Amino acid sequence: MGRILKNYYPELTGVFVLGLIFFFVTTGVPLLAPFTEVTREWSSGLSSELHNFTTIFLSLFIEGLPFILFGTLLSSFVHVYVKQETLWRFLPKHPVLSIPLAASFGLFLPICECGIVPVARRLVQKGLPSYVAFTFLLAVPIVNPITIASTYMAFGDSWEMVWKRIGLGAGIAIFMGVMFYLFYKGRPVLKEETGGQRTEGCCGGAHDHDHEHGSHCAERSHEGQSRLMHALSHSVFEFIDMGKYFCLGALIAAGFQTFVGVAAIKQLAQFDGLALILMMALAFSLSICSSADAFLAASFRSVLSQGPLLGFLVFGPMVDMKNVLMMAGGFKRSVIFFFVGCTTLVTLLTLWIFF
Amino acid sequence: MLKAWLRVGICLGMSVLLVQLIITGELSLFVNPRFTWLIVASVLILVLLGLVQLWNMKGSELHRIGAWGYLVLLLPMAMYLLIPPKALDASIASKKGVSYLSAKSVNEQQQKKSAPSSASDTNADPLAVPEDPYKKFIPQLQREPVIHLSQETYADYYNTLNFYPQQFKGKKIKLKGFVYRDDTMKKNQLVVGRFSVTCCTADAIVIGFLTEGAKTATLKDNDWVEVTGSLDVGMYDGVDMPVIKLEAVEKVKPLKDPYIYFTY
Repeated sequence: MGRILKNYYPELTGVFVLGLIFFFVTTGVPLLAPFTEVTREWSSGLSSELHNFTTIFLSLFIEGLPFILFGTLLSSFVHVYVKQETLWRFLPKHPVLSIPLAASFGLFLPICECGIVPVARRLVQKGLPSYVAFTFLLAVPIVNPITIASTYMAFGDSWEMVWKRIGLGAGIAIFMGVMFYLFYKGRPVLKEETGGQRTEGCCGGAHDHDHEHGSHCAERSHEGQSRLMHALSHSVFEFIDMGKYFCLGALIAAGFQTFVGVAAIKQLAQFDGLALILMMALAFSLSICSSADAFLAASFRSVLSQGPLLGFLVFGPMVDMKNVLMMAGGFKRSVIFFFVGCTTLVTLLTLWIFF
Repeated sequence: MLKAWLRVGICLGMSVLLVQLIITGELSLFVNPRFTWLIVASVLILVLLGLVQLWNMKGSELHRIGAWGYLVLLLPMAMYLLIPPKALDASIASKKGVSYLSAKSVNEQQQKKSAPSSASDTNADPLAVPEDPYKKFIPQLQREPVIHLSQETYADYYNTLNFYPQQFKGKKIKLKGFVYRDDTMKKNQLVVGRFSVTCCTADAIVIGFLTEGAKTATLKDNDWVEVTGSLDVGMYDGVDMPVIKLEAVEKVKPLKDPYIYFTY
């Protein structure tokens, strides 16, 4: 009996958990109901701001969660299945071609900004030049079909805003790609790991951090099953690692929405010079999804001119609190400062001069 | 080992939380229901990850993750249980700001005003003069004796009325919503509106109608009401917008599904 359990416990737990979920979904028993009834009682005295805070925090978290999960799965599968040499064979070597190409990746890979950081980080680790990766990171949330459709809808079926948003987004992404080419070509941008593995591909041999893992690696090159397992178990760690920053970002953004408020910014934003900076700051601290922010921006139309609106629409998807926090987990601090500072300056200057 | 169990707990706990939200229907308080499939997908992925972690309990740590990371990730569940979320109400509307008029109407009317100067270049680009999707509602709305904004029609009718306020002057209108006031309104004015949600509640904005009349004095902020009145045209920042002249008002229970979901 014990032996059967030992041999088949993965399958058994799997069947058990799936059965449990199936049971709860089909019978419609809210599992947590007894608990929430009690807490609902005592928390009814709390101020409504706190409830609103939870609502907004959870909504940001739940909305972003699928994208984080897709992002980490994708990143882990790239980590395990893609060899360093094979991936870039198809990419043009010359930056004049590869940077604009990276800026248009989003058209085929519609992930929003929540899922993009783990993917970009993994690609850099796999040897993709950092200038390509950063162009990709900046452009994908803007130059992507979902964002385009929602912007078109939000701004009264007008293509003008859409073209300007895409143009500016792609332009800034390409410019930043060039900057990274000039300043970071051939220099490491990722943090050096103390824990081993992330600096070197698992099977590189030099840095296997413990024996068990090492033998696991040797094995998995022959056996598809354990390779899949490795990718999945890597996803667990990647998910927790990225998820914590994402969660923190959502927490701060929700706090901003409930305790400071957009309305406060709206009032200040009526002063022309301030408006652009304020709208960019707002985009940074709200951290809402690039496929939804157009609708929020559209609600500012009566008080703001085009420049600040574009600032909000272009800057938000590229640099926001969640993303910067997630990047902080993997990239070097100096790189993040360079990235955030430079992108902010370029966006500000472009919008100041042209709009 | 504790950390491994925490990882199992986070993955499976989150999926339990999501399943709970789906079953109780509370999910619609957080995200637009058209994303439900995404949430179901996340439940499946989370369960898979939880199981994988269970099968690899003795495996080594692939990333070094500090204790604070685990604590932060337990927060969503803790907050759901300890400070139960509820539908957004007027208390946050003041933080979010209210738009009396949709972007579309501003857009349209600004284009009309600047038409003489920019007519040539808007005509040059056929995409800049798109077929207006709300025009088709005009005859339909004009036929109805009372324009009734229900859950399904709210967004479309709201936009149509904001788009063409002049066309509906004097028409009767009936809608449910919550009461909201701010400093810019006169004493006998308030807004009756709903939150509209595009993706998640974080991007919710209030879409409502400015309502005026003597009866507004009896209403408190955040009351849910059903108002009946006739439409008039007012000015706001130099743009026409619909105003409801209040005739009858009745307090109602807060709606179970308080938001309007945008689909596009």
